Amino acid sequence: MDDDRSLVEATLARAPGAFERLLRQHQKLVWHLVERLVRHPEDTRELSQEVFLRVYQKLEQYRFESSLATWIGRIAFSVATRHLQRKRLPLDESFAGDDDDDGLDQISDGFDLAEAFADAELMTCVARELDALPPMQRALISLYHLDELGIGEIASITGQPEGTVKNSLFRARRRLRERLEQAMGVHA
Amino acid sequence: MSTEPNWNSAQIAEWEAQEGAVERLRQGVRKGEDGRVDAYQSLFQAIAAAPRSEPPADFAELALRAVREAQVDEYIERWLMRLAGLVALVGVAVFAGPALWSSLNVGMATTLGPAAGALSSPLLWAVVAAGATAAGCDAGYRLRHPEHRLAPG
Repeated sequence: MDDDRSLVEATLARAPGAFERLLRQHQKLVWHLVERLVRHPEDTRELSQEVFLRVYQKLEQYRFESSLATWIGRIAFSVATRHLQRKRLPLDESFAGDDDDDGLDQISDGFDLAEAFADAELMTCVARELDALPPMQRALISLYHLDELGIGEIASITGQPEGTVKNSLFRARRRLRERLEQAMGVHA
Repeated sequence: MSTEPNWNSAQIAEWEAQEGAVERLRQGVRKGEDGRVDAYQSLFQAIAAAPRSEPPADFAELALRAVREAQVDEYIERWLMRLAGLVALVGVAVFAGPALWSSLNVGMATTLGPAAGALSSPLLWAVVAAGATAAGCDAGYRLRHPEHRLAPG
């Protein structure tokens, strides 16, 4: 947090190179989050640039109540979700059968995905199934498993209650496992 | 904002299997006794290893350029608004100035008496009008761009 404070203060004071340092520190988080939500290379580039423009314009409003990464992530999430809304693309959708226990019954307990697929095949299949997830669940998987953010931080970025984030993450992961096991059934 | 999901026992067990797999991966433990946790562990390993889009090498440079260009645009827009305000002011001064000036002098002489002499300098009023126009233009800019922090100058 002290690092955040000194970097923000230097940027507001227009110290040479300060905003560039801020941008380089957080560009991966912004890019990954936007890309996972919009899944379009050119839109990802433009929206990520727009995020940093807004960060620059709004930095005075940052109150150090969360980490700088979380605050920037919130702006990135807001920019990307507004883009999806403008294009009338759904951010999330419920999966059929998610609200009952049947989904769990379809998943076997002793099934080893790694044994069922060769590594490259498993990765290809996971990438395909990740793409098939709704944008919000794809983003949650990315933030939790790739950016290694906690549930609380993700809730802060997405503006959702922690329980909702946990539930969406749970469903997305269960869905991925289920789909991969089904793919294995087709594959065998 | 930390309401727990309303899960049944099967869903809680599934969540614990998912989180057990995350924990095992973080600790670098390879295999366990629980097939369900193993399956999630394989899944999460594949997610971590799957190809991921990264920002291009020149992204930071391009984003910085975009921010600078936006600053320049703000600066130009601000000065254009000031210029437009001053043109309007000059227009008013040329076309309606003499009539306004004489009526102002008559009014001041009536209400202020001898003190009116100090306030009857055209230069003083021109400076006041120009300052008010510039301030009005800046206020207009802020109203149009409430999110923008104005660059100095």
